[in-house]
Amino acid sequence: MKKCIAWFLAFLLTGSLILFGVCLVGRQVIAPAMGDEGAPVSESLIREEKELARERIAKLAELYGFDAEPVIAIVNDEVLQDLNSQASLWWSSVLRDGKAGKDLRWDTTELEKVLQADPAAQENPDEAEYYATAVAEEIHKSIVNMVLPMRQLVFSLGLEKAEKRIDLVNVVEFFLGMPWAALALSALFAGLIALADGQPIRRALGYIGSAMGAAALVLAVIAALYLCAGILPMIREASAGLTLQYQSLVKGSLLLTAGIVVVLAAGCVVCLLKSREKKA
Amino acid sequence: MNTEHKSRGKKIWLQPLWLALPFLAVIAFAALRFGPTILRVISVLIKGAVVS
Repeated sequence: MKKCIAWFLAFLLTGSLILFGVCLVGRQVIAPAMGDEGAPVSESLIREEKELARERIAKLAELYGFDAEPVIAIVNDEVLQDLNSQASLWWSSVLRDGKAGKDLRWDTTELEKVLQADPAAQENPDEAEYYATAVAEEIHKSIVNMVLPMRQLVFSLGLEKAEKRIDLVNVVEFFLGMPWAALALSALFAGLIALADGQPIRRALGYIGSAMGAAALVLAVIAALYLCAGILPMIREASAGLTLQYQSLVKGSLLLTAGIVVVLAAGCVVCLLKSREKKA
Repeated sequence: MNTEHKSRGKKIWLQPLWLALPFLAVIAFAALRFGPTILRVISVLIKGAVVS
């Protein structure tokens, strides 16, 4: 009977450890965007976005006939950093207030000046200003879509509809607290195992170690399934800008998942060895 | 006696696997039953919400 109760508690401990792992990874994705200044932007992301911006401007230059290099020089690290900060605040507004944030903008005055002085605009001096404004708007749209590739109107409507059914802000806050709740639950189950069949205490280590090993195994399977699901190709097909952001996010999440799996597996090995010592 | 200890020692390493089996079974069932639908929904959401 004691053994049955202990195994049932070990099963519950496995479940709470899996919940802890999944929620901790989810928290790591959401939490940075919850701050007042949004999530910090990595330099490598800015570098990759700069390359992408270069490609986009080159395509527009081919289409509208302007010289690409002076325009590429204007869309520098500072502009991209600022746009990424604005995008981060946009996400922050979605998560904290349940509403889409302000549209992204960057000052295109300098860009318009450069375009106005471009030989393509000077071919027809009367329409140079109109040409510069129209092309600058196209470039602005393309760069903003690269940094925040979301249909903002669709998002606003979706959030409005979702708000009628669920309190998104409360759900997010609840989710952020979940890892610690799951961890506390795990500690409780481990304690209950020790109470149920923990004489001597090394016996309890057998159940706790098994639960840790099982949780590590299940988390590794979940991560493998996620990687095999083929979400990256879908995003790659939809937007190159989002692909960069998604890859940087997934890299961090996978590292954390691997860390949790390693810690749980190490805990499993130590606990099982300790529990075996007595038997030998 | 020694053989019994050895077999116990081996068995102990299978315990995590037995404990993980119910969870793995639920995950496998969910992946096979709902996986394609979930992926289709994600694909539609990405296409609808993302601008290239």
